[in-house]
Amino acid sequence: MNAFFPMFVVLPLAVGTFLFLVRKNRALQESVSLIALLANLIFAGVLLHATADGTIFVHRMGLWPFPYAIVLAADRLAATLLFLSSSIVGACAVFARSYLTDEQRKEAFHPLLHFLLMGMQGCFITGDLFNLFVFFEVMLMSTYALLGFYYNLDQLEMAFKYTCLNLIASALFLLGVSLLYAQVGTVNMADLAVKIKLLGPTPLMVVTALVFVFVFSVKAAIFPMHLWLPSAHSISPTPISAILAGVLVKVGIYSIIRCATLIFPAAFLILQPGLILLCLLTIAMGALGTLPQTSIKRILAYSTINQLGYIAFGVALLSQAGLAAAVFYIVGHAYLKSAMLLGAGLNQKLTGTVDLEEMGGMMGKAPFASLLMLVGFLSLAGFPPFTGFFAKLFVLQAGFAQGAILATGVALGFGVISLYYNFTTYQRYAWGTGGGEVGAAGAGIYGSVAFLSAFAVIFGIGAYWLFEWAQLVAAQLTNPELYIAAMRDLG
Amino acid sequence: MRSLILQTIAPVVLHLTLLFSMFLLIYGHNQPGGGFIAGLMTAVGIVLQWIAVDEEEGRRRFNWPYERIFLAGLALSTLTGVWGYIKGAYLKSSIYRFELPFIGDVELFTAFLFDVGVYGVVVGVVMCIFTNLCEEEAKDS
Repeated sequence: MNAFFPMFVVLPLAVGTFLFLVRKNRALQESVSLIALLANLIFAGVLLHATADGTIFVHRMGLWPFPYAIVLAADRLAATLLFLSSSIVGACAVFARSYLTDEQRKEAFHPLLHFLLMGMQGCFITGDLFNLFVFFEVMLMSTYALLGFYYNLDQLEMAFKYTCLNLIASALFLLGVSLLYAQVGTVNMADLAVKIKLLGPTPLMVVTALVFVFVFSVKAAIFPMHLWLPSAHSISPTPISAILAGVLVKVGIYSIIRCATLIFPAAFLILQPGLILLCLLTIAMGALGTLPQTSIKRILAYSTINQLGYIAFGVALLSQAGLAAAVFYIVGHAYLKSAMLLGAGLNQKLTGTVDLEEMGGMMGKAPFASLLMLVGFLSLAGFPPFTGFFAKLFVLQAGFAQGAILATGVALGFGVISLYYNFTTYQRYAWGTGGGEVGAAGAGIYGSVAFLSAFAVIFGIGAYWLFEWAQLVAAQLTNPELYIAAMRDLG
Repeated sequence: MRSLILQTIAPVVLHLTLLFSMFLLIYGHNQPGGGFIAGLMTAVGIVLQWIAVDEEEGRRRFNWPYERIFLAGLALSTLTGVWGYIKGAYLKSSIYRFELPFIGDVELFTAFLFDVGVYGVVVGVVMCIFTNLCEEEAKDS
């Protein structure tokens, strides 16, 4: 496994290149792409199984010695996120097959999808801060193109703003890496952890940590850097917005987790009050932002901000319980939100719109589609027995257990707003008046939405099982010595 | 834009740039240099030449299949990386020594092949971007 888990980077790269080469033969391109995504998913399952006993796999690229080699490492958290990304991207590719018309699905769609996957998976398994930057860039380059994929004015405007914001963030990321390198002279995460611990939380180190928090909060849409998210998630093509909401924002959260647990634990303790405040503001902005919206995709986008606030709140508690809750929330929210965005796409296929004012009474017209949406909205509202309920429960429990009564109380209070907007949205969607005839949608569309929704139900009913896994992940995260030792011994 | 100075200097500079970029490419895998900057340098040389002559002349002279160059480079780099698996790790560089007539001992690093791939990618991408930008401008005017 040590030698072969870099396949998560190599396979999408090789497949993406191949798909560009055969771009004239659409049928071949599509089938190879889907087979490769399936292989990726199976392989992620194998890795998940292999990391269950607590092994951390380490691979040194080119077999260079420890602090100099570019290191890839896979622990439980990375394996979890790899499984998550490959299953969601796979489902979105199947969805795109029947959702996008041939004209919309240009020849670059599948290659870009694989490069996006390569970037995301690279972020999850890299053990080197500079390479995290490189994989961020790979990921962003693909999203720049995918976001504006229909090449119309709205999308190009949105993609341009997204590109500008992310270029600034990337520049700062590079600045942060150089700041860190100037202080400790290394970019290997394990080596960084050891040397930063020796140095202690000097003022400059806290500033460096703050730079990284800023950079990653752009990706994770934490207040005040959340403004790009609603338009990017609602205007982009639906399969892409599902990947963005499901996996891409989680890359930001993942990087924050790595910084908080491994690289700068001491500096994060100093920053903690500020972080918690930002998380609460994110929760508030997301919840309040949904209220005036009428487009399902925009409502879902604001609700993503809201939920990301809860996830980041779990991380910012900096305790094992908080991290476990955050990991649970990440997994639950990723499947749920991508299922719902694909569901919005399904409704767009059926009614030709995502605007609530132009549809309504879907319960009578398309019972199966509205059932799928019901699962999603109930879960988002935090209704048992779906994942959304348990995710919020665990985060709030962790908060109260730590004595952050006021902050957790505020977070709980905004849960009421999320209950309100989810119920009213579903009410208007299922029983409202208006809207015309309903068309038909392909089996691939229904199948991929149902596949992802099934996770929301399974992880709700089997919440105990998922939470146990999340606690194992958190236990490994709160003992960074394990990660460092694995990298030293194997690396 | 036509500039006599640029037009006179560009061909001379082109040869020097290409020569120097080849030097960087061959020198690069164990020393400062490498496929990335060599590729940039080559592309810059071509772009300068293109700007010196007018748009149509440039398109006629440098009408190379940049997309294919880029793809071939990407494929070459990826394959070289995968080749490293045989030696134990992704991207592991291996060295092959052999004797060629008239030249003598030659050392071939797989890292060099990787660099050649990177070179192809950079030249291809930069020129793709450049030719596309030229087209947009042509459409506007």
